[in-house]
Amino acid sequence: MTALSSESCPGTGKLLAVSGDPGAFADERKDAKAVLPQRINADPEDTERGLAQLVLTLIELLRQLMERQALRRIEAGSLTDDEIERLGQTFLKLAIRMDELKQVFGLEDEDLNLNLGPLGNLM
Amino acid sequence: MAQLAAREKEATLLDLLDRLLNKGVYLRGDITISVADVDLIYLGLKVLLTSVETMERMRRQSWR
Amino acid sequence: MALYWYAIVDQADKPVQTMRGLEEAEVQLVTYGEIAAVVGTLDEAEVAPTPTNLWRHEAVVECLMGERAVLPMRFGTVFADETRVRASLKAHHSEFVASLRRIRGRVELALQVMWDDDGARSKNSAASVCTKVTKRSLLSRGPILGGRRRAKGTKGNGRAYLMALLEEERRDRAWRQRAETLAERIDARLLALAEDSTRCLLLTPRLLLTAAYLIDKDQVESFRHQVQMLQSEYPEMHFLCTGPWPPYSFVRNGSLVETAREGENDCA
Repeated sequence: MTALSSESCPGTGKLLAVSGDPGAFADERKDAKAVLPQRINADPEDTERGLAQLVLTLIELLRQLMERQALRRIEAGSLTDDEIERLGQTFLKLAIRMDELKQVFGLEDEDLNLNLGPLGNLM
Repeated sequence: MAQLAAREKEATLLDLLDRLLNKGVYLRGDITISVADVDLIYLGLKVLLTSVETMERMRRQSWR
Repeated sequence: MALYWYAIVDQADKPVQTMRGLEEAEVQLVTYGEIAAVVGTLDEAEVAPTPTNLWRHEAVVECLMGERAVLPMRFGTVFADETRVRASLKAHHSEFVASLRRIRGRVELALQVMWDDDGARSKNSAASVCTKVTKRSLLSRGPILGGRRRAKGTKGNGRAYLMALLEEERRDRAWRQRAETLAERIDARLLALAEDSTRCLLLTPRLLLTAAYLIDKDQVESFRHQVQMLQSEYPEMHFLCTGPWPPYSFVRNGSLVETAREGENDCA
């Protein structure tokens, strides 16, 4: 019978090469939460927050897309100075408002993203 | 040095976790208790590296 | 009662060596043609991904690798009974056979490379314009005149904000380009020793490269040597190489993941 020890197994002989602090790699990945798939919270006890999270994620997506559109038009030179100023003011106000809403619901930037599995993150 | 060994162990564990939970052949069984489906919504990586009891308690309490 | 599925193996006619998996259950083979599923009975309704359980699953898979070609299953794959397992083997038979052929005699090595140049990517410039405007508009809130409140001193902020965004974008693009060039150079050196690889650029700003390489078992030492050489060539960066692992990253299962030989960036 082949004895398979589990607790003594962890990490034995799996480290082939490392330069620097191995823990730094662990910390980095933990911060990124890149290891476990993230989902929108579906806990019924917290539907309000889950809903806010979903709605704000979509608003954030649109906001970023629109901002990027504006930048492309600025680079293409197809906006007047006045239009740039007005657009900028609008985006600025929107950005500030989003920060406020995030604070109200206790959401961080990382929360307003969707993990699409193999397709990576939405934003 | 014990600290270094622990850090190495942690780094290796993460490589293992990534493989076992996100990769490998993925087939849905008939019993939907596949970890990839339900349980991971409630798990954070930090929770995973603590004891089973703490993990169970946190799952009941928090949503993240 | 159910069956926990560890892996898919070849040489279905060869009896599996005796070993115990989760819940100390002896593993068995469920065969279909020349391939088989390696399973173990399970009483518990839940399989928690604790380090202990994870390593036990891994230990079974690694033990099998000593004598067969092995396609490792994802952790937590549980089927109701043998009939369903067999049906699954049948449904994906040709795919499994092809995958087994591809990984036979090979192992997976994991690589991560960290660099210090995170490009100061925090959204500082646009964000600081935001903050300045907020502060100014808060400070300038005076008595309501004719029903309208006006934030003073905000002229030019709109443009400033967009210009800051533009500058941020440009810096980001340049930074990404630097990262890509560097990562490709490193990856190419190691890909030369490998049958295949998956790679992900900038999983986090500091994780320049996250990759997995499918290499022949007897190439592990040469690979390790290459990594050590890269370490000395790039002393400012940090390398982490672990393995050998079962080929988790190279068992295609109709997923969208493409590997280096077939497609582009894989960040699944």
